[in-house]
Amino acid sequence: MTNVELQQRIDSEYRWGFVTDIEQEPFPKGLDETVIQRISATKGEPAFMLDWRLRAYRHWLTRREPGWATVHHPPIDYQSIYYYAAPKSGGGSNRPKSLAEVDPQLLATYEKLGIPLREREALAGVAVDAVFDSVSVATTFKAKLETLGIVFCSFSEAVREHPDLVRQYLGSVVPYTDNFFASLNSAVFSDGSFVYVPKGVKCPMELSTYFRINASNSGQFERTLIIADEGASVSYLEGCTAPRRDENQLHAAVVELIALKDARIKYSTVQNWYPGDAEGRGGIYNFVTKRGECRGDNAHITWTQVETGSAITWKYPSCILRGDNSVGEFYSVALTNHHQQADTGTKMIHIGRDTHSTIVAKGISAGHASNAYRGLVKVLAGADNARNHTRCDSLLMSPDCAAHTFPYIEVKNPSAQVEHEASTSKIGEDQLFYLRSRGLGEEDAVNLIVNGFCKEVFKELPMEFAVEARKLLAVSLEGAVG
Amino acid sequence: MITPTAYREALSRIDAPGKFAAARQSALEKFLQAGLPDSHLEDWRYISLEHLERMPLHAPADPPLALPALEDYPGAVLAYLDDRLVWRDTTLPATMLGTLADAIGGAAATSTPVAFGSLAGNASLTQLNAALWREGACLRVPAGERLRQPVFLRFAAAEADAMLYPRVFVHMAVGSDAILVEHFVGDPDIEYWQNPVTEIVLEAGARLTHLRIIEDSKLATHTGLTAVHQASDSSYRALNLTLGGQVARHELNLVLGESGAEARLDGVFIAAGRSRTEQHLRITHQAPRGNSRTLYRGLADARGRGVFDGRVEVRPHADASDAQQSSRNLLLSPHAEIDAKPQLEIYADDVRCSHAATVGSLDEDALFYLSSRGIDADTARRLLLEAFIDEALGLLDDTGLRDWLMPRLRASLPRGQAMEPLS
Repeated sequence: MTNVELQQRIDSEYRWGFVTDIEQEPFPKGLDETVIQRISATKGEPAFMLDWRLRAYRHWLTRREPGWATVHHPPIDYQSIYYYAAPKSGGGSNRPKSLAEVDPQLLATYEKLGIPLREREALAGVAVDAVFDSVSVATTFKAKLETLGIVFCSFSEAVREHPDLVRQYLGSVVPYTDNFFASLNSAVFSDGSFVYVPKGVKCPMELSTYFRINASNSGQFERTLIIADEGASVSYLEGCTAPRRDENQLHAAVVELIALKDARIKYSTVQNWYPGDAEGRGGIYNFVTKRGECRGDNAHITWTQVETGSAITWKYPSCILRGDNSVGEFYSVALTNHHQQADTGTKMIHIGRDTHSTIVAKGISAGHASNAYRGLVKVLAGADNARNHTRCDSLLMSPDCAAHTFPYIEVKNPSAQVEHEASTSKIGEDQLFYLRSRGLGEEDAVNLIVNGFCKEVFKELPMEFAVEARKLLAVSLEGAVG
Repeated sequence: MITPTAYREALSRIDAPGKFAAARQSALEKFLQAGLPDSHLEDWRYISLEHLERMPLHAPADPPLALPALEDYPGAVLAYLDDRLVWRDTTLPATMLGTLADAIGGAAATSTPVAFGSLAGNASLTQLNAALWREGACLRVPAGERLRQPVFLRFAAAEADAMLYPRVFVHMAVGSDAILVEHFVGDPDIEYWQNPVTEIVLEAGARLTHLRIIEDSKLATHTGLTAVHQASDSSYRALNLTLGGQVARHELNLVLGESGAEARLDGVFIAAGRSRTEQHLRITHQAPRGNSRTLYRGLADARGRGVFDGRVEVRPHADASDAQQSSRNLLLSPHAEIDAKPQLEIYADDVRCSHAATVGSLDEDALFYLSSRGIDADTARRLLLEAFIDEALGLLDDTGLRDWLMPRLRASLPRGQAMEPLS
């Protein structure tokens, strides 16, 4: 690739609005209304956005950080955070100059996952300009999607190009008053993804943040909005299996899904943010609000997640089943090792008649980690014939880890049927022994058992994700047994 | 906001010896500082006590008003009316079964491995009980002794708007064995508030079967706590029945404190009318080889709301713990509600823990089957409900109390909605 081509590639970022203002002075630390006004102005947002951000901010000031999750961390100083990511070329930060400066353990992990060299640099946050290969991939896909009328772009671009859609749907599932972190996100969100699939259109390919060049830098306060209009369907993949280094410790994303009549949204996540080192130093705090609404009859939302990263995960992808006959599903594998803490689960709110929901949650806890499932199944009085089945299993792999299950079941309709089962047990000594006696090494045996334990969830993942997820689990569990 | 006057006035009417007077005073101040629990507390998210703030609550008159007819109890009896011991029918010596005020005033007080008051914790309602309990009851079963008859403690309420603070201390010495029945009742036409606290200490190898029956007035509020501590190889088996009360909440804190302890917790709750009932269980496996089994059956009818909130915690190094929890519930009316919150908190790895919770309604097929055999709808429904709760009533046979209890249980079962007559 010549220098000229290179320059064109970089320019194309501007055209798509992936990076906004490279000449911008770094924002000061801390948060006040001026900072929010500057964020909004920098992004060239219409007045309604700024107004919404400011209302969110004022509400946030009245809220206190929630303390009910079974996670422990030192208090977060919200005034010592940069609320707008400094552009890359402003690079006064402490990002590594080359792969030689990156934590060798991280590099070893990339090696095992078979990640191409260029991507390794991007993932590790090395100050290269871009991952060029995926730019071309993104543009090719984009053209194809446009012919179908599908909008798939960054959030900032959507605000500029499709303000009516954003205005109509933003905050309609997760209002800015929803919770402490959602309020904060609403006030300061930097960027994220926007998807709109028009009536009757089946999106022909899996949409993925991975193809969006700026995804590696929009992380801290990400905002995603996906709308499937009547009869539409879309499958969206978030994240990737490679561990990603990030300078921002606090991540508070919001994801909103809206499925209208007969629409179907499948949202799959593989989350592997930097979990901190084996001693529990560093690592990302991942406090995410994800919620989908089946707004029309026969709508269908599926959340599938594989969570292996982050020092602390606080995440409850939920479904509001408003339309009659709508379906919500949640499949989750959460693995915590070393000193990681996860408090994750789902909420299924049955409002419409004949609504069905399924929850399958698998927690694996190793090292000194703590892993909690927290879920709510709520059946309102009008939800005749609602059905829910919940299955939560926890696998314990060390004497110092912890596994918790906190399900809430609230039923106000006598024709509803709600079932919840949970179990917690140690990885089976006899199973391990059997596999070892057949000549498998200890780690292979553990992997086989863990894969079997997670099978129900993996089969819900898109194929390429499923293959990677299996590999990822193996890598994350290295040294957990023995 | 609570008004402190009524509580202070109640305390001023208790004449306690010096060291207890100070403790009571300090407990009352702690309660007044904390106030009544409200829905901001996770443990109180489903049941509100706001109505208590509007009631003209006061300590009951002294002496109690009238003595209502006492029912027959198949065993030893201490009967309390408005917190005063009014009837004692037992051949057991007072050192084994008597008032708590006498027991902890006497020299024998120091002989228990766990001191009075140390199990109950310091929640605000518990502090209030610690400040305002009156005579209380104390059961001590000496080492190796096996009581042949069940011991009944009856706590009755007769005065409107009275606050009652039954207090019970049970000490089961090494290898002892007993059956204890606590029975909470009241005048069906009045509002009152019972806020009892029961502490139970089981030493090594001791066995206690404990029936606790809330049959308070349909207008009453009941907020009870049972705190149990088990030493090695002891056995605690409980049946908790909630059949009455406008607001009825029972909290059971059980600690399997030493290895090999075993607990079985059964329960049935019925929320009918506009009543709110909550079963709040905290089971802590603190030592290896503990075994706990929880089996609750709940019914919610009319505008009733039933809550099951059970938590099992397995502490680090409590290896080979085995904990199982089952909560099955039926909703019998479109306006009723069931909330279930079965929780596991595990900090050890060599464990076997599971829980299951279901909420559903009576099986239409089963009802149809019975009616096709000529059984009328009401009877069919009653049969199915009885069968549903029967799974949790196994201890009635072990204690020989089925005949005594079943009639009251049947009387409390929700009846089918009467058919509108055809006009």
